[in-house]
Amino acid sequence: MSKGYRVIQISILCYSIEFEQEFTGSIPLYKAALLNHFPSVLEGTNTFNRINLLFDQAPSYDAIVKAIESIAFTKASHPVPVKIWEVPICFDTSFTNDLATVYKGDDQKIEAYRDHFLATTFTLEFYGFMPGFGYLSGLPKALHLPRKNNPSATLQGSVSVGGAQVGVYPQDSPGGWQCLGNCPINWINFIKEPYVFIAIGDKVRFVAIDLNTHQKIRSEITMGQYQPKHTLR
Amino acid sequence: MITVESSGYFTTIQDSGRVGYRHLGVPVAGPMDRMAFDLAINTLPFYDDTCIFECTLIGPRLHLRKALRFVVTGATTSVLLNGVCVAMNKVHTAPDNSTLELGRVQRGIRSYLRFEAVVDTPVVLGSKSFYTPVTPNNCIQKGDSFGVQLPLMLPTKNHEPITLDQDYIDEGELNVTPGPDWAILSEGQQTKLLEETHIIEAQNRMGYRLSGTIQTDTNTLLSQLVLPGMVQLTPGGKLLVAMADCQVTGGYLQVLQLDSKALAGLSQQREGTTIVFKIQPT
Repeated sequence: MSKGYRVIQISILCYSIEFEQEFTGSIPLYKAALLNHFPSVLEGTNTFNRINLLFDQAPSYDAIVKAIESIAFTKASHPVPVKIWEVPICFDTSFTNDLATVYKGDDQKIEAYRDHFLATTFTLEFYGFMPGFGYLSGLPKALHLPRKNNPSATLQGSVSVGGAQVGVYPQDSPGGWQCLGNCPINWINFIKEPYVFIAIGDKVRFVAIDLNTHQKIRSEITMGQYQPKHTLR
Repeated sequence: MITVESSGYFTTIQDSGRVGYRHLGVPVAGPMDRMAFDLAINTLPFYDDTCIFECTLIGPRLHLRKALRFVVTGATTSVLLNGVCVAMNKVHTAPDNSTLELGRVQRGIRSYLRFEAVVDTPVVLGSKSFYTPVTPNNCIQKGDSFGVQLPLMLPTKNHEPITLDQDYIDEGELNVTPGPDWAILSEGQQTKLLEETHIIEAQNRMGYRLSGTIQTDTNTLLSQLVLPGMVQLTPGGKLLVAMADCQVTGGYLQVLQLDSKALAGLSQQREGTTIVFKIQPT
């Protein structure tokens, strides 16, 4: 691996490798190579710009650096086709009015924001914050929104924006991000694998649905008949 | 069968935790005081299960239909077996149709009740540790019943009695090492953080909030991995110490990291207590 990273010891059993740039899309490959190299890793996770290795018995700092230097990453070609998930979002104002607050009720601006959002392709970078909360990157600068000054009650399924980040609340929770609309799909289940359908590195596009479709999808999910849709790239 | 006659203030079931699911955003959970937990496990060792009742402030009253061996460790509390007070940190046998009651804590706030039995509660993502929404409940409720199975594999010889120095339970000096963002603080801020005493303002299984006076502008940080024992500095100057149920990622400055003994000790301290940090060379 070329320079452009640093190794940080987080605790006696945990090291992080921080990359200078955010290697959107490449992190899963790097992580897989590192996990392969260190069989004593208990857990490997990542964030936007770090790979985190949690050990049962941690090697020395120098051993980590040496091992990383010795790994030949093949960055050029992406062998696995990336899935692009079509995730429904319902903009019905019965779910949220945050955009109206941000744009002071200017319907034209709200409409333009939603259109731009729907035209954007996001990348799922990692899960954090709460079980099944996926952090999405790729939000165009024009769509960044400031966090709320005080967290407020946020509904399960809320598609929300905090600064440059996008995420969907898998359960009701206090939250400081601005809500755009509601997604009827459960992003995580705890019963059977795969626990999440959107893998780290997959792409996400939001598709607008009306309130009836939202309710229809909710009932299909309850009956176990709903399958999230995706295409390959 | 164990039946809950009274739940106590906040009683959960914990095993050693949900290791391997952080990448889904799922906290590790497990015991708050891993030293008291380990003592209980080692005092009643069997290999099928590390399930234990973690009792906070006021313990539960349980009805035991069949005879069971048990031990209580951690925060000092009265342990009443059929109305008779029995010693902590020692193995006792409750006969058929017993009532076992843990009282109000005296030293520390979390006691650990271990039965020599596999407690029947759902295993979700490889662990029985209570954490909603992964498990259906976040604490036991009056009227709950848990099936029990006697362990299949008991150790072949009796263990020596184990003792644990209990002083960590009210140790006000917490050993720490520098966290990943320690160097972002100025030397003056670092000194202040280590010289100040910090009051525990609020606490639960997710974290401990401590008072503090250092003001920083940390709004621009990316979310990073958070581990139990991490001391995070908020823009308002409060310190948040991540505990067993902490969120797996967070965007606050990660200034210090408690060692495992300090983490166990902090989890026994209650609101209003003051602590100081003592930095250890890495």
